[in-house]
Amino acid sequence: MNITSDMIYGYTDGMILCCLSEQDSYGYAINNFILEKSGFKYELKEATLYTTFRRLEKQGHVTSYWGNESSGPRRRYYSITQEGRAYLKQRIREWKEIRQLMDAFFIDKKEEETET
Amino acid sequence: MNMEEKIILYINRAFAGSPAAEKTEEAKEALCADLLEKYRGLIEKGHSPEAAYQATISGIGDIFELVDSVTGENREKALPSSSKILPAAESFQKWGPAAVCGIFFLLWLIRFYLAPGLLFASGLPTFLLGAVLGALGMRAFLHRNRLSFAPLLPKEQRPYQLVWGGCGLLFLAALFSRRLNPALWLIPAGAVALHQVISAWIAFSASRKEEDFHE
Repeated sequence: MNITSDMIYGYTDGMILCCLSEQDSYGYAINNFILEKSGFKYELKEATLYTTFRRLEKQGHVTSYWGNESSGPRRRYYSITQEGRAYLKQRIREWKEIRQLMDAFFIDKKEEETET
Repeated sequence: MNMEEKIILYINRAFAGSPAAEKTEEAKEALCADLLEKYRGLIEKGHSPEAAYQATISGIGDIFELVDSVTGENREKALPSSSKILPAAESFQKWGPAAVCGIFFLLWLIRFYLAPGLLFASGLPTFLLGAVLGALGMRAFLHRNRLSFAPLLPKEQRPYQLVWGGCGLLFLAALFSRRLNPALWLIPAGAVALHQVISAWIAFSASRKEEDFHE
């Protein structure tokens, strides 16, 4: 199944924060993390990625700093803040509730489908 | 020009015309670093340079969404404190002098065009008096709000400002000269023609610069 950005819309910030909760990272590496984690089914567009970075930074969920690359353009590293970790926990709680809610609809349907 | 330079050029073009600010430069640099790494990763996986370039560029998505998010923030920071919502009293204090000058200007305009000869002598001196009042109003407004003329007159539009400003002055002069009156329509038509010539020249210069860059 090909996952479209519309299906994920609203969870991009959670996915990025999830990656940053493990270690500080930069755009390309975060996108690779999401790609691998999704089983190569979903890759963020750079425009979405950077727009989300800016929003998260503005909201105080992440901070950023320059890497010390000796040649070529420097990488911008992102780091999750305490507020960001609290926000991520809240997003995970929300997701669990949504999943329970949707399961109540879809699991029954799935059983119906398998019966037919 | 190799593909890596083409990626950098693509990003520079996307941000061309954005207000120069530290945030814009930082966003460009970080984005370039990521895109170049992605491009090199695709080359390592066996893609041809052309295919890797295409995949890198198409993977960016809506670049203007990103440009807007960066430049929108710059604009927000560049706005003076006076542009934020002010309490009524403070707002009146700031706008008052400009409003008074504006009312004088409007009164003059109405008198000049609808009832000439009532208060002052008609003609060029009266017109100049109104123009001075209007200019003073604008000066007072900008001064009280600590704004400068510079943002009103962007540098890249200077040739157009000179053409239209010059033609505007010529038009006003012609209004008060009986000899030039019959040729009045020629002035705006001339301004439009000059505007087109300048546009064509700017486009031509830009294409020459681009060709030089490619070579």
